[in-house]
Amino acid sequence: MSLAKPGTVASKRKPVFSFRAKNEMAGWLFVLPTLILVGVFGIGAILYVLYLSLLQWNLISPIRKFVGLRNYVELLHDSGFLHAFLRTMLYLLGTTGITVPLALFIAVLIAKKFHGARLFRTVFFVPYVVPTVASAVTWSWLFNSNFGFVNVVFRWLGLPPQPFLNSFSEALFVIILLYVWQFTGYFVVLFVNGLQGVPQHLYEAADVDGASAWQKFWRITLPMISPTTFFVLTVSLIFSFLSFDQIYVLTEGGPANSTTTLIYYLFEQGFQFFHIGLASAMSIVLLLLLLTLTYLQFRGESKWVHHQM
Amino acid sequence: MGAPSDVIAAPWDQVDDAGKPKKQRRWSWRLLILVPLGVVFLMPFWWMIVTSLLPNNQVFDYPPHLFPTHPQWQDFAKAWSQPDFPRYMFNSIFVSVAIVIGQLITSSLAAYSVARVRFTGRRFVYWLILATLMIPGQVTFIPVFLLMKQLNWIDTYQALIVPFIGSAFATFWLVQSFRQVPQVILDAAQMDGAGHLWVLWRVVIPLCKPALISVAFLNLVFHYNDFFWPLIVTQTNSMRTIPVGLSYLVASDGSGTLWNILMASSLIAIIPTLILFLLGQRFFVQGTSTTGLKD
Repeated sequence: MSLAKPGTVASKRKPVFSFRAKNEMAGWLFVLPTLILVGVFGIGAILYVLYLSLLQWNLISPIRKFVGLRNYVELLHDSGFLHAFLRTMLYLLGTTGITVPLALFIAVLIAKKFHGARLFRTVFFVPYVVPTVASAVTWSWLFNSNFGFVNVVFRWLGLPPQPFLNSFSEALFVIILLYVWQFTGYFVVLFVNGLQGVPQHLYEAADVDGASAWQKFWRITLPMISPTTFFVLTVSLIFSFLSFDQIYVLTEGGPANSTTTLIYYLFEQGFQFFHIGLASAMSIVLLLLLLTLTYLQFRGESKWVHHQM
Repeated sequence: MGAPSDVIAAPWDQVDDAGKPKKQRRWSWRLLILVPLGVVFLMPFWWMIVTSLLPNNQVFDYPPHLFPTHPQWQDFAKAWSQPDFPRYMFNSIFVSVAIVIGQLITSSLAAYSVARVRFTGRRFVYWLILATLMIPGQVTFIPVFLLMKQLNWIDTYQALIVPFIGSAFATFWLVQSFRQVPQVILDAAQMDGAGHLWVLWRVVIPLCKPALISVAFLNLVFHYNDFFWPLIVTQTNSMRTIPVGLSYLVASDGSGTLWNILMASSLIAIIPTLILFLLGQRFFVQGTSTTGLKD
């Protein structure tokens, strides 16, 4: 830096230079806490779990045996894992298959302003903020096989009372219903947001052409909100993959493992039996499944989804 | 999009074309579907409230009581006086508030740095933070649990709080908002010789308050409700949070359960999130509708 007379343009350069150094310092300093925490508990943890997945170790013993990819091979032959995988697929199908269309249906009904629209949005959204454990506790009472309200309704309707959570074939469905109750309102909000972004003039043009409400829904609404739909589908699948609290409270994976999903199986293997290597391998598999989902969402969004200008 | 406050407008408050009077009559047939659906969605709450107001000997009556004709408020007192129940509530509130305060501090610093400070590597840093957004916490529970064990943090507040203080979600959310602050305002402040910390605290944060509030509401509820992690890292009642405590109150066979007390306990557990939700409904819905992600 050359010295310059005060008052000239050049005199301003010095602070500009030190300003840049100050930026470098402040920039890194400010971002450091987040970077360290996210680095340790996010990226570092993933690298560590990747390493652990190559070991055979039961947490208590001091022996950590390096076994390479054997845990992954073992997973493929583990009937418990395969069973959990199938139950998870069934669960995903049920949760997303019911919740997403239902949420879209409700969203279409309340996206337009009318008396009470806000109230309904609140009503459907409230279950989402209730702690899942509290909801699950309520569910266990609602679906109690002896005195639960649902069986009372069944009796009024002349239907035979059901064992629900004590039944191999029904327990998963009861948990699916809890998911529907919890997340419908959340997806309604996402859909309403998407619906309100559809340009009104498209509907006006369709009106001119004499299109029916049904045609307008299929030809305008659905294509226009497809980015939202894609996003909601992905989020719903991810939430379903990670559903744990309700299973722990309601069934603990039973009866006869009918509600043991991947995440619950991971919990059992990792934190009850301390099969650290195997559970770590499952964590990696789960991560890959979820990343694939996210990737498909990105791909799908750019490929087949209709984007508005 | 101009000032941050424009971006923060809640979708609930957006007036669309259908707000015109000519379409007002539509509501009649909509309600025909929405009211029954709404009743079904509110039913669990109603059943919970009614049960929580029954005396022990009426819980299993048939036909069941559908209205609290003789409300028994002492069920709530009994719920509250269960061993360690107030402690669970305190732990949940303390832990979630501590996490969120930590998150707001770390992520507003990080967001300011990424959004408004020009330093080498800032795009890489932001990319790195965003990458962790895709890692679900559950997948890292084993390694983080082992780390807690190494640090002797099992069954401590640190284990419940520290892993969550760095938040990619909060950082991402605040970056979006901080970017909306007009550069002229920042230039003016810096021209006056203000440091970055002063600009962040006095200029950016006041302008982006709605975004910070959204993050706070969403994450307060998320961490208050969290169950899996506290279940793993707590071992004694003194450290358990309310979701974990609640799960312990459900008897495994279900036959010996005092459902009225249990429903009262659940209702008490719900109250803090319900209050938060009612206070900040618009922040909430805005927060969820834009990102669809938590934490």
